[in-house]
Amino acid sequence: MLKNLFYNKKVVPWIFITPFLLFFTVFKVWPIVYSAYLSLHEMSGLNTSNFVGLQNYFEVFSDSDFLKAVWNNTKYMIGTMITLIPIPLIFAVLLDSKHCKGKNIYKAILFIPTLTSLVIAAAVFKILLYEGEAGIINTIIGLFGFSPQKWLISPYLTIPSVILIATWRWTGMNLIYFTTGLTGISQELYESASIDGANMLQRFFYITVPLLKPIIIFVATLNLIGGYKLFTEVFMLWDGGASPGKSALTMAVLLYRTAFSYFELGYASTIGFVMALIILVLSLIQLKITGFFNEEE
Amino acid sequence: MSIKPKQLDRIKTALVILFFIFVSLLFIIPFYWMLVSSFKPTGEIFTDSLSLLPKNPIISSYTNLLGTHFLRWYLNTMIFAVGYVILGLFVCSLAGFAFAKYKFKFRNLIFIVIVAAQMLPIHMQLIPLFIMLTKSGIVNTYAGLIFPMIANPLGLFFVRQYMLGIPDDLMNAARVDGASEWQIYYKIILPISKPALGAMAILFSLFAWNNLLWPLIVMRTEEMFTLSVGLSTLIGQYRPQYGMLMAGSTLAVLPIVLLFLKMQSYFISGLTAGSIKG
Repeated sequence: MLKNLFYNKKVVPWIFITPFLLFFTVFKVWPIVYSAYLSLHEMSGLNTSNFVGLQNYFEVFSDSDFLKAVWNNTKYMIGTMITLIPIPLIFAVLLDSKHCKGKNIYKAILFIPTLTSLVIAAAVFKILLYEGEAGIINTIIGLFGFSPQKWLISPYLTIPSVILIATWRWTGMNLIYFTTGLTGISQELYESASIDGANMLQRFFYITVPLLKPIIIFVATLNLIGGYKLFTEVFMLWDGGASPGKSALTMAVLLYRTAFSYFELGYASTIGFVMALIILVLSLIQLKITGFFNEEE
Repeated sequence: MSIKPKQLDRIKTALVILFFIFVSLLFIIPFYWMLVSSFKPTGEIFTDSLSLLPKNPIISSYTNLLGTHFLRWYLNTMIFAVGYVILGLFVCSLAGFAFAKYKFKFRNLIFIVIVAAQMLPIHMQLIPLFIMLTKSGIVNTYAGLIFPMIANPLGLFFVRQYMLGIPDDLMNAARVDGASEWQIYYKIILPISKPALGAMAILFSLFAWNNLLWPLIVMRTEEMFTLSVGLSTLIGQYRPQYGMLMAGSTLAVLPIVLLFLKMQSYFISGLTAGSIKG
């Protein structure tokens, strides 16, 4: 009987998607629905809940901690846009040039940070960013004439510190995206541009950047989404995310603390729900503005 | 004195190479410091952070790790990775196969719903999942850690894209020979899809190895922690154990880097597909 089912091309696809749909419904769809339900309730502990309507939502949008978290996420996201697009792009162009020897070695070295756990990355950078004069980063910037900075202590430097870690960790990843894109650009374009007298910068801005636009949009979208999900670095750098003056408090950290330090599971769900909406809306707006939808016609 | 084009070329080459050597060194610094600090006493890590080599190298950070649940964390992480890879790949590839190679009612609708779900961050599901796992009693178990991750829309999507490229003639030939659809999946499609499955296996195992937030929420007792959660406790407020943290980090990173050097292409295709952040 069962054996015959596996010969029936009408039934077989349903059998094949059943395990996926089962896990998907239980652990993905249901939690999303449940989270909407929870966000309308006030919970104390796991079982007791009071329906409070939209109160949690009103509270979230007037919660100074939440608004601060959104702003911190935004600052971090903008920072990663500034570092994690131009730097990998320039690296990719240089790697692509005929003047570069040993490409694969550099690529591998730059890629390895991507494999490293953020827990480990943050732990090591906690040492590197040590605020004393003997701190590694302070020594390096000292070589260029800068005075030592209180990286993880001064509220102005907490987000830049996290951006530094992000830049270390994701440059290699974005580099791969850009080098893949560059291999799709014909060398003849550059050669004919050179003959017409275009210099290196002109070739970069009038050929490379426009032709890489879809990949730049893609990387920017990743930065955007990643920017609003920031959690691990902050959690690690400031022992559970207690950054000085809440200067690096993020939505995800606030969600975690609300749920697991204060056990307000309803309110935490509201934060999660709003967070998802923010990410979704911003990614759609970004794709719209950059003309991503038009190009697919 | 004029520079000939050939000399100019050489200068450019030298400059580019020098630039990348400098950049590579910058990117290696964190790994180097991790390794060096793992052989320094905790006091020396901060006060003497400029010494390129430890003055009196010690291995107590490594031996002290044995006094924690470190080996258990390692084992838990491996169980998470292996369980997630096997179950996740099976479920995703089976469904991916159906979406790629069969026509059935609502196929496109279901597919769009699944892919759209991928756009929502896991954060919005964390609290509901925590409550569900707690109430069903599988919080703090491997099942609780692995099951919610198995139906991975990205894994489904990636495997399906790859399978779309497999010619139908192969399947039809097998049908003529009397193969069942299951046999076609198991004996023909799966072996051909190895590159896609390999990439996803890397993506899934790196999630298991590196993610903090998910196991932090599911695993509630010390002996059930994964490496990420375990290592994060070493930095705790009361007695931060930087030496041990660096030793543990070194041991945690090592297998990943070695595996990467051996199978770079799988890593790169898996990670560029997943673009996991956080």
